[in-house]
Amino acid sequence: MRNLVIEPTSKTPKVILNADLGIFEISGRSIPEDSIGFYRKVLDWLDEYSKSPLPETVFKFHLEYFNTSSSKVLLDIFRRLERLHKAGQKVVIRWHYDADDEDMAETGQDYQALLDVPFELVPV
Amino acid sequence: METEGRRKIDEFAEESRILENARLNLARIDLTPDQWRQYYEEMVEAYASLLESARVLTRNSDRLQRKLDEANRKLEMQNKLLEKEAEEAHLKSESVLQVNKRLAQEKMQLDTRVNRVQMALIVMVAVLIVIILFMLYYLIFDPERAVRLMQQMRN
Repeated sequence: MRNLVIEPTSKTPKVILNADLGIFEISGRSIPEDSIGFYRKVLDWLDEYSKSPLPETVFKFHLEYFNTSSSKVLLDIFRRLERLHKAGQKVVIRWHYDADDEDMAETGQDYQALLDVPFELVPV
Repeated sequence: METEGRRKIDEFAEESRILENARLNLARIDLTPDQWRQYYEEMVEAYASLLESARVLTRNSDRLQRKLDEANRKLEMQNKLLEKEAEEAHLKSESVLQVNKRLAQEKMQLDTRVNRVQMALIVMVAVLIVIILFMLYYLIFDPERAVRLMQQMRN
């Protein structure tokens, strides 16, 4: 399947979805005016990837700031990864956050409590 | 507004689909009690998931608001600081301008004095040259008169 790479802008994050190298990463700032429009490609890519995933999927998130609609779309991404995990695949979500950013740590904890998938909090 | 409405529906597309299915099932009259129970269980599960999502999103939203408020507060503080520094810089430049103005006035006064002294010196030198020229003239062309004049000056 084709890899998906989206370069970051001042309002949208960097996205790397590379099944060949096993790199799955979303990082930066996510405040797009049309969150679902921006993340549609990511969601579609994940749906396609779920059909023949790698033996292990480690998805890294390192977001500096995101708006409410992005947090909903993030939840949709997590739900897809959760489904993959429930289907018997090895999936790990790594939530990276700046060590002094308590809000981002709490957000990660909320997602962690909500999901039934390995969810690691990684202060950096 | 219409775009905004569409966007909201898109972001909750999965939830909207579940609701639509539930509405369709509600209109059916051919369902057995077991099927009703199954649909009801699905609805309860979906509702629980939606409730948890709503809780997380609400907390996220509150945190974002807090972050924005904090950023705004910092911006306001920096803005005040900048305004204060700008005011101080303005006052400093005003003071420098006044000093410059005073110095320019003093320089002008000094120039005027120097000019006066220069003029006085020029006049004095001119008078001396005239006297010397007169003296030379008499010494060369009329020495007797020159002697008389010298004697008159002595007397």
